[in-house]
Amino acid sequence: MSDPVNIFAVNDELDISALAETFAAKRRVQICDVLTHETATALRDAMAADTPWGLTMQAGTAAPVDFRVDQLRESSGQAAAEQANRQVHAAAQARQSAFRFARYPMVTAYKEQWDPGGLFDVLLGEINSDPFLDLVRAVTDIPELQRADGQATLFGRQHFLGIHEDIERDEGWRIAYVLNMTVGEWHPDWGGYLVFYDASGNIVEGFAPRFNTLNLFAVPQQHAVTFVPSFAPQGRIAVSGWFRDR
Amino acid sequence: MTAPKKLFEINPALDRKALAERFARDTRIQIRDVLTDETAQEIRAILAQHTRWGLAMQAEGSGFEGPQQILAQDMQTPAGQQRAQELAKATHEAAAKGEYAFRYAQHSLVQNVQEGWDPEGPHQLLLEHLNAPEFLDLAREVTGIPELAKADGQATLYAQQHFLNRHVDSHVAEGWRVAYVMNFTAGEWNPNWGGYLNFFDEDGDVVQGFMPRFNSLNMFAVPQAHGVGFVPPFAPVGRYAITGWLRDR
Repeated sequence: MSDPVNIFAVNDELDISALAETFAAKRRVQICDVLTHETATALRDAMAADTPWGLTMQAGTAAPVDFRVDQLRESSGQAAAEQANRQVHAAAQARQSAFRFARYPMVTAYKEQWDPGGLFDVLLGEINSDPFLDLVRAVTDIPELQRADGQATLFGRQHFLGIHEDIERDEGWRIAYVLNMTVGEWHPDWGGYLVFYDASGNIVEGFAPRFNTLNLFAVPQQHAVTFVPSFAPQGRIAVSGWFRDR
Repeated sequence: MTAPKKLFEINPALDRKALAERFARDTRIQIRDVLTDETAQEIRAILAQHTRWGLAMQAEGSGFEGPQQILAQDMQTPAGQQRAQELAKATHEAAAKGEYAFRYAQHSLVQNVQEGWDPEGPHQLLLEHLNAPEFLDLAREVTGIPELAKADGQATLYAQQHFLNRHVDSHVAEGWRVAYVMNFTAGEWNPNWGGYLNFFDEDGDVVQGFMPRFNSLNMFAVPQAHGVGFVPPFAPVGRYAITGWLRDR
């Protein structure tokens, strides 16, 4: 019997004080090589191979619509997704709030026992374990952070997360995170950047979706994930969510 | 009798000293309200209504060597359309591999003048204004490069599916000192519509991105890694600009 594969171990050689300085100065930071290379590679390979991706879309003032992978296999689900797709297009065209990407809702999956003890239950536990929470507490200097939610996301062709601020969120959401699990080297022209805006709409900083890099930023802050063009040869895989203080 | 319409007039209220300080610090700048509103609107009308657009594309490693053009007069011919399709495919494949590629609509002001496309038209006047002391003096003062002597220029339109991949203009030896983009966007642009002029650091992160804002002049010292972000299919047709280089010889 082989040993179970470890998918998550925080790199113990990170320069925490330098990262904390960057975060304090800018309210955002990229932590490169956040996990050990071995565990990050194992997590990435598992996510790329085994995630039952659904779709999530949002258009205008309407609530987000989610489609599970089994719904997308049926013609009624496909038709509903097509309709949502058109609404996203129309909302984005009309300068309204919009997004479209593939996802696996880890918290819902855990609560509803979609795959008890499976990859994403283990991952959600690791994100909420002390080594990882302590890292985020130290870098953000917010010792009150208590727990995190999470979703697996895949930004494929035509996917994007339009500009927004996260102000409408529940109380207690302090820090947003994106843990990039990109396969291979991501090219700048394939979009999928996590970008931050000033009040006039210019971009002040944009993080490439670099493998095994954790992006942290204080909420609220104007941000987006840029559109992934039709020529991008692969999807941008990540885990994202919020750290909360209650 | 009414006075002739003005075509190009620098906004007299620009704080050139402050702009020069920012350029010196950042090696790039976005100057907002660079022209008087009246003349900026006139230029936008020329670009939106009185410009015959061709296509400019490049696809590194595709067999098409260097930048390719399909001129406006060839856009309706079967041969021109077939070539446009082949180039669109080649740019798609090059971009998928991470090779240098671009795709946008173009009307070269320089070619217009040199080839006499429209001797009575406004485009050659635009190129003259870009080479007149009023504009060059502004560029010299803001960049702190008094040697800037002339400008080339092309009108560009980034419509849906258009992009300019990240690259570094390495023409410094030929006297290309400063690149410029004057935006004449139709209406108010939305961040989700892409088409930003983005600047990259060595790791590929974006260090700054200028929204294509109506009546703004972006200038940046050459060389620095930059690109124009992909314009999604839900963006309206409207990212009009005049762009080129300012040279010291």
